Amino acid sequence: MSLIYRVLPTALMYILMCGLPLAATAAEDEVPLLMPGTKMPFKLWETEQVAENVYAFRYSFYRAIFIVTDEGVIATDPLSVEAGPVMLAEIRKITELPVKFVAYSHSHWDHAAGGQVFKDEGATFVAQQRCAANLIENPNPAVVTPDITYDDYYKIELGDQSLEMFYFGPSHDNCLVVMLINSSNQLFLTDIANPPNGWAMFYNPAISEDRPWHMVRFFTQLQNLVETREIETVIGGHMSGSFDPVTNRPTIVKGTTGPAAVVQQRLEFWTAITAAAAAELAAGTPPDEVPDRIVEQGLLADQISGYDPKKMRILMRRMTSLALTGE
Amino acid sequence: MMNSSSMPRTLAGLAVAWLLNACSPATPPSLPAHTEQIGDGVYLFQSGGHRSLFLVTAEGVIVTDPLNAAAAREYRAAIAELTDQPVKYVVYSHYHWDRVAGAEVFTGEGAQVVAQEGCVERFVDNPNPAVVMPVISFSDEYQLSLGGQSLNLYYLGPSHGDCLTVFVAQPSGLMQIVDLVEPPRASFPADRNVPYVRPHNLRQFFAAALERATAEGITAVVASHVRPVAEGNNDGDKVGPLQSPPTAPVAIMAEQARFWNEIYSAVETARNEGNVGIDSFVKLKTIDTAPFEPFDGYRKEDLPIIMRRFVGFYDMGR
Repeated sequence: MSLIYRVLPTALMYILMCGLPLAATAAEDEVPLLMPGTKMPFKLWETEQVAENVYAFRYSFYRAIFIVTDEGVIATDPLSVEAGPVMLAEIRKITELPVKFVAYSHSHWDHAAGGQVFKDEGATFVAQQRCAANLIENPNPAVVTPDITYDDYYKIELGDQSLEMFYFGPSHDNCLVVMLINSSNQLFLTDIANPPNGWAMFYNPAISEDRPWHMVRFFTQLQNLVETREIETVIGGHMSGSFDPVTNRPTIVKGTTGPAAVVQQRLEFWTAITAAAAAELAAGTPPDEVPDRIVEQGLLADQISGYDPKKMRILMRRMTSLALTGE
Repeated sequence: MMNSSSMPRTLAGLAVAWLLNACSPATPPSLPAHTEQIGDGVYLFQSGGHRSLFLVTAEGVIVTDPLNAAAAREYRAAIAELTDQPVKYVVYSHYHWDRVAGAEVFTGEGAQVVAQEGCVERFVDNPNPAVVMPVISFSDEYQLSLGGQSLNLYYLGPSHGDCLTVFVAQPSGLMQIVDLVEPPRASFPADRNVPYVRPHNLRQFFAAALERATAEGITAVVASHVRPVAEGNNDGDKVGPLQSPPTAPVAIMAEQARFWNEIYSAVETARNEGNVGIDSFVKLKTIDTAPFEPFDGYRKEDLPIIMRRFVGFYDMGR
């Protein structure tokens, strides 16, 4: 979940209220604004080429990628029932070849819904096996059930291109995978780290969907992948949020790709917040007092982008529970 | 079987009950420290705000959550004051370390550790040297029987964490749902951020637990914690003075289920009426607080925080 993707409902509500066209075939100047009435220049959706035959499709604050090969298209998260048809139309502007594969990054409906348009043209859906189990356990008719499942690793090969998927254990959701585009050696990450800043405070510091007990190990493995594969670039699964250095208010950062250093930064971030609560407990501070004590010390206040004492207390309460319960 | 309405509701009450029972030759003259009897051969051990269920039979003892190493040593000593029988089984309620560390004192005398298979998977994924690995695991149901008593174990899907097991002690007709249902009455969650609840299955979990309670003829629900209970609760009933009772009437389960159902319902309403802010919080002023006010621990300002977790559930499915 990104910093500010929650603006989505407001944007959609405005569009519905104002009757703006959502037609997938809209010309560029007909694409509605993401945040009408603000100075934000972003369109509701856009497609950017990020490497040869590799594209990033953004709808609202969400982003997916697709790879055009000489035998068809490999797509990722269809995002929503609104976004899926738009994404297909955007692909059609580039190639007439069919979408052969749709790969899910994780099981959350806000990324995985909307794939029916691809299913209708015969796409094969690929997901980590626990994602498939999640979707069976709690089905959503807007989410296409995966056809192919895998455990730790899967590689989609089509024509002259391939997309690798790595499962490093629970992180955000219990089945999230990272994706590596082989031709461009770009890493596609959703909801776990977003360029450009790996030290960003969580928008929801309760981190209810995360598995904090495995985060350091997850990012250690991910950083190892970055190093062994010499990955330099990350594509973020969301339009990046950040904080205005003057007002400290949330703001949007333009830029679809960023340096892979964001992975190392996020590893350091998780390591630091995990250690902070554990160290305070080890020093004998009663659990209920740990969050206040850490905030009083100003611990990590200078390092965390968008630091907010209220959020830090919530986060440290969560990390204290982690130290005591293992979850 | 002890009738729930006759159960002593405080330690002071228990002491009185024991004094009244002192002339019975089958009853020990006094309970060991930190121990409460809640049924025939069924006890609670109390330490550091936790309560742990154990069954004493003529063929051995069944212990549940050992809590931690120091508590478990006291736990073992308390059992030794009641019986010379060995501890045969230690059963984990779920995988949270604050409940399940320190079983060595029991396994050292040959006890076998039992847990739902999802707990075992988590102990493998996230090991803690203080937690003894289970040697017996199960999927949906398991029964431990000793000396005419049984502890029935039911896994009803994710609820509080992913492997929480419902305990039923028979023939006493007692049910314990650790960390989710706490006497004396249905309440707000202790941690308003509710990091452990699993909204995608919580309703189904409670429905299944209620069904199981009926099928098993449950007469009372057993506490897993000691919590302060203020005098003069919402209905004016003085439960105090200091700590919550060891059991509650079985109706507490339906009441706790109702609390969560009210949360789901309020979030659905807020979403339908556009009352969820861009920050995912339900707008406090739009919440009808009346359904929540009767619950223990009611704090109006906690409602949006609890509901935020459920907004996420409706958005993402988890």
